[in-house]
Formats: sequence, C-alpha cells, structure tokens
Amino acid sequence: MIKYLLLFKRLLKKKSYILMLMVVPLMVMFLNIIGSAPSGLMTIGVCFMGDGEVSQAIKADLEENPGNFHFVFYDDVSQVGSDVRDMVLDEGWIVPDAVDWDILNMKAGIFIREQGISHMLAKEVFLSRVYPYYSKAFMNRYAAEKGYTEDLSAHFDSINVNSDLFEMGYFDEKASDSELDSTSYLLLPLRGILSLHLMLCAIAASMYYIEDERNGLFIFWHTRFKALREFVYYFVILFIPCIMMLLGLKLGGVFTSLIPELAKLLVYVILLIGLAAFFRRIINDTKKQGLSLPVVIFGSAIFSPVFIEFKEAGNLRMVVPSFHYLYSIHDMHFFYTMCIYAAGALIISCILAEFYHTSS
Amino acid sequence: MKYFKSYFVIQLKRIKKLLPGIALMILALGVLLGTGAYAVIKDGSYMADQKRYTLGYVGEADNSLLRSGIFLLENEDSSRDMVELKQYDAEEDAKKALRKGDISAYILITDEFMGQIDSLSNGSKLQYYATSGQKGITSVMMDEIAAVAGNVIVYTEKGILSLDQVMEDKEFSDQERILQMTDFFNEYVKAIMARDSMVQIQTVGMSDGLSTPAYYFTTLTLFLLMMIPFCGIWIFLGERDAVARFMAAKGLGPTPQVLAEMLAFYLLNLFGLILVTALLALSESIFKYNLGELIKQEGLSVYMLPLIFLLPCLVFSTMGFFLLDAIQGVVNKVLVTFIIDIFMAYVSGFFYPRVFFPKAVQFGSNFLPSGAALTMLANKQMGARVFEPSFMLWAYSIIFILMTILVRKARVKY
Repeated sequence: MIKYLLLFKRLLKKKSYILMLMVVPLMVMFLNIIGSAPSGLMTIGVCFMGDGEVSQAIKADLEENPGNFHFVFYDDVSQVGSDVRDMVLDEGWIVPDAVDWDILNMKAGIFIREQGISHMLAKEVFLSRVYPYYSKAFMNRYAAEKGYTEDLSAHFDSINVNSDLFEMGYFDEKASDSELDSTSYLLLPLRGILSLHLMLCAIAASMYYIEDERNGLFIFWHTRFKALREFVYYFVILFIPCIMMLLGLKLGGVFTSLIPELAKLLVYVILLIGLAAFFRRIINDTKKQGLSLPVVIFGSAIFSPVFIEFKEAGNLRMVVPSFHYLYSIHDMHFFYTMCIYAAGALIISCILAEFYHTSS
Repeated sequence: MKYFKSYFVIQLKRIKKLLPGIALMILALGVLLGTGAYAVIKDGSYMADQKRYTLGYVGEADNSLLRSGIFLLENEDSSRDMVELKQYDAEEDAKKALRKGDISAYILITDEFMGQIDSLSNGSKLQYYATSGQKGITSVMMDEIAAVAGNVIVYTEKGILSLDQVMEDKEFSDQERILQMTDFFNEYVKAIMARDSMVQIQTVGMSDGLSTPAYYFTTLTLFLLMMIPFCGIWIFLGERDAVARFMAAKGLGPTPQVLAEMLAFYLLNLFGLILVTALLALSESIFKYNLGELIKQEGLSVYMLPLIFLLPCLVFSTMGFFLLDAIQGVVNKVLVTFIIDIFMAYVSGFFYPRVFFPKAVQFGSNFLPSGAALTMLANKQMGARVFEPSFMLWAYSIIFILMTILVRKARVKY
C-alpha cells in the first residue's frame, strides 16, 4: 500500500502535474464561454422586403426562437448574396413583401453556396417558419371557395394545440431529465475529448511503466500477484485524470447522474488498463508506444462518436474502447458490451502478466 | 559551429531510429482513413453528393391519414431527398438498427397517438430516438427536422380543426364533416407537397475559401501534422537536464542545443508529411483518381502538398517541441499537449466548420497557430492574401523557439 502511495506522491512532485490538472477545467471553462455566445449550426442572413404584420411576426419568431441556427438581419438584398459568397453567411433568405398581402403566391429567394443536406434542412426550416401564416391564409381561401362566410381566423388563433409534437427520448429513460438538453451543441464533443484524454493517459502510463521497469523500480518490489501490481500502478496514474474528467463533465453541463457516471467510468478505466497493459507486452518500447499515439487518437476520433457518428464503419467501431464508453451513457446495451470487453482485456493482461512473471 | 554540427548529426541519428516507425504509423493511418473512405463511398449516398437521414418508424400505420402521409413522404415529397423512411414491426429491431447505424433515428407510433390523430387533437407526444449514445450533431439536426415536421402537422391541424368547429356550430352531420375534413386534408397535403414552389434557390458559388471536401482534407492534414510530434515523444524522455548541462559544460550552450534539436525534429515532421504525400500519390495511381478533382479543388496536385504545408509543419513541430520539452513527466507531456492541441484544433474549425462557432471565436481563432494555418491555406488556394496568417505562423515559430531556449537556459543554470 505504501509503495502505491509513493507512486502517487511521485506524480505530484512534478510541477507539470499541476498544469496537467488545470488544463481540463481551463478547457471546459473556455468551452463554456464559447458555448454561451450566440452561434448556430448555420449562420443565416435574412432580409425582409416588407414590414407588414406577417413579416414582423416571422422576424420576431426568428429572433426569439432561433433553434440551432444563428440569424442575422439585413436591409440590403445584394449584401446578403455577397456575404453568402464571401462565406460570412452560410445561407441567405429573402422574404418578399408578398408574405404580408399574398402569402399563398409568394416566392422567397434563398442564396446558397453549394448543394448539401444542411441547405435542404435550412430550406425546410424557412418554410416551416412561414407555414403558420400560410396555413391560416390557405384555410381562409379554402373556406371561401366552399362558401363559408364565417371568419375562421379567430377560431384558428384560439385553438391551442401542443406545438411540441415530437420529443427526443433516450434508451436510458432517466437521462431524459438530464441537463444535456439545455447544453450548447458546441459542448457536446466534450465527453468524447475527455475519453480520448483518458485513453492517452493509459498509453502514457504504459510508457512510464516501461521506463520504471528499465530503471529497476520493480527489482525490489516483490509481489505474488504481478497482475495486481500492474493494475494498481496504472490505476494510480489514471485516478486523478478520472476525477478531472468527472469535474470537466459536470462543469461542461454534460454530466448525467453520479452513480451511472461512476460505474461507466470505472468500467472504461478497467478496459483501458487491460488494453494498455496488453499492448505494453506486445510493444515493450517507449519509442513504439509514442509512435502509436497518432494512430490511437485518429482511430478513436473517427470510429467513436467524438465529433461525428461514423456509422458506415459498422462493426469496426466495436474495437475502439471509447466507442463503448460514449454509447453506454444512454444505452445499457453498450455498458454490458464494455463490461465484457473490459473483462476480456483484463483477463488476457493478467494471464500475460503471470506468464511473464513465472517465465522470468 | 563545429560542436553545433556534431550535435546536429547526433540528433539526426536519434531521429533516424524513428523513421521506420513513422513510416509504419503513416501507413497504418492511411489504411485507417482509407477504410473509412471506402466505407463512406460504399454507402452510396456520398456519391450522389448528399447524405440522407434514414428515419425508422415502429408500429402499424393503421390510420389512413398517417398511411397517406408516409406514402407521400416516401414517394412524392421533396423531403425524400433528405429523409428516407424504414418501417419496423418491433421496437427491438429498430433499436438494433439504430445501434448498428442503419438508421439515424426512429419514432414509436403508439395506439394512444393514433387515437389522438383520429380525434384531431394532440395531448401526447411522439417519442423519437435519435441516438443510442451521447447526443451529437446528428441528433441536433434530427431535433430541427422534428421541429419542422411538428410545425407543419400542428398548423395543418389548426386549420382543419377551425373548419370542423364552424361546421359543428352550423350543425352539419358527422358524415358531411368527415367528407369535408378529408377533402380539406387532401388539399393541405397537395399544398405541402408543392411548397418548393414558394422558394427560388440561387447558388452563388464561392468567391474565396475551400469547397467542403477540400476544407476537410486540409483540416485533416493539419490535424495529422499536429499529432506527428507525438511520434517523437521518446526523444523527450530520460535524463535530458543532465545531458543539457553536460553539453553546456562542453561548450554547446542552450541556444545551439535547442536549434539543433528543433531542426532535427522539424525534419522528422517533414518526413512524415512527405510520406503522406507519397502514400496519396501511390493511391492515386492504384485507384485511378485525381486528388484535386476528388476534393473539388481544381489545379491541386498531390506533389504540391509538401510545399503547401511546409510552414504549418514548421509551426506545429516547434509548438510540439516546446510543449514536450518544457513539460516534465511523460504523463503530463502527453495529456497537456493533447488537450492544448485538440482544443486549438476544435475552435479553429478542424472538426466542425468554423461557422458553427460564435463570430468572436471565428475571429479569435485566426490568432491561434491552428487557425492561422487554416486561414493561410484557404487563402493560398483561392489566391487571396496570405501575408497576415503567414506572418502569424512565422511569429509563432520564432516565439516557440525562443521560449524553448529560455526553458533550456533555466534548466542548465539550475
């Protein structure tokens, strides 16, 4: 026990360790500042040609309920087009004055740079924002054509229908109440980044272990269970980064609830230790361990949902530890697969540890 | 000068040990990214230049209104270019498909919801599941699609309910009301299907900047250049302080030490960049494609890449050297350097387009090494001004070299 505490003390001795502890909260603090500023999946410039009741109502709706888009309002149509071309805007909407007096026959203009799914979505968003007024006018025209003389507008305005028709659910029902729903999308990759961070910590721990082994640290450290010594060695190094990760998740607003977070993180750490110890047996060289870092970072960033969900990779993603961890947050299925993976990695590394111990 | 040359040669010999490993690492990355690219191209939707979201639905669409809606969405409506529908009998099948990535989301059509549609009221909500994992950009996009669909459904219902109320007040029979509502609904559907006629789309093109594929090719390459310094982490382990003091005692001060080491380190990173170029050139001849055409950047030749990325390679290698040298302890080196690198890469728009970020961040990222590198490359491609970002990159390189020298001097003195 004392030896493990001394290992821990050795880490704290280095001034750079304090820096290592600070970087995660500092990064989260900066991300929080960035996330709180106005931003959007797309920046859309909007120019209203008219200033009637409907134009003003649509403008107010865009201002108060931008959703995941950022709207900028223009007075000059040509400026919208040139700002789209100059990449100041992603898209430009020109709302004609006909929206105020002949919405059923209006033709709006949309400026885009290149075709793509996001522009198709933005077009649908535009049409859905105009649709409430279009629907009312359409209803009135239909009623008039069918001979109804009553004014249906009052009925239309008085009907209270639940506008939040769709609700996103998680497989893990409790997570539906999490603070995640109000978190800026800019902070969504935080958990992925921190999971990569922990993965690199495990590889760095392997390099540390190799150095200590070469320097003869374990010569006088006899133990019956080498696997246990290895495991605790890694755990000591990963312990504080785990705490910083939990703190980072909490500060970033992507934390779910304590017990599930702890459980999933613990299993993830066990998985990382098992894999790191296993690969250390195969690549027992700090040079080669260092060379593997970019591959690990790239591979994990691509095949686990850190920044994108790369579903086309199919089952190849299952090899990446962070894939299981990130998916386990709202789906117990992947928590179980992570447990199986962790158990397998741990058993193999224990067998290898004892095998090397007895053969030496 | 003599000592500098000898010391530099020693550094080159140290670097030489890493070259085979770097070659293997680049090859492994090439296989990784190639597998990814193959998976994407095999998916087919990227070939058609648009990726569709696949939406599953669970449950029988017993209701004729819902059945009509689904038929129209699958066959007639323009949104079929954006959303593809897939029906599942059991929720477990839809869950499996979501976990595998066969669908982007699925919705549960419950008996309660069907009842609400029949009575044209909605108190309950329709649950959709956009991810089985942590929330990401795809699920944010699905939120927007859900909001659009919800808006259209709700305000269509309001129109139908309004007319129904008037007919009820006028004491029309149930059958007359049903016939009228059905006709009204069909007219609404026709109007919704024809909504594209309400907009005229104009593609203005780009006056400067990169096409989307070129943008991501550039950011991916820049991110790789940021990661390559990790390959040389072995150089920064061991009794470096003692070696530095020894060399200083022998007449080679901190400044020439740092310059020799950094130059060798830069050559190591450059080697990585040249390998990437060679790999891309090889893949061009094997798979018979042209890089410039593939990423929609006319005039780009793969052999130009080392020249294009020369300055970013310099700034990332000096930055990597400074961080890995100044920070003590292998765990600290790796973790601090990684967090700084990935944070800079993220806010500079390497993973999400820069426009996702607030205006202040977009502007501020130009002053980061990563952001300046991206701006310089984008401007260079389009023939715009490169002086300011290039100056920034040179300035950063010099600053990192000077800071490394200062740290070395402190270590030698101590």
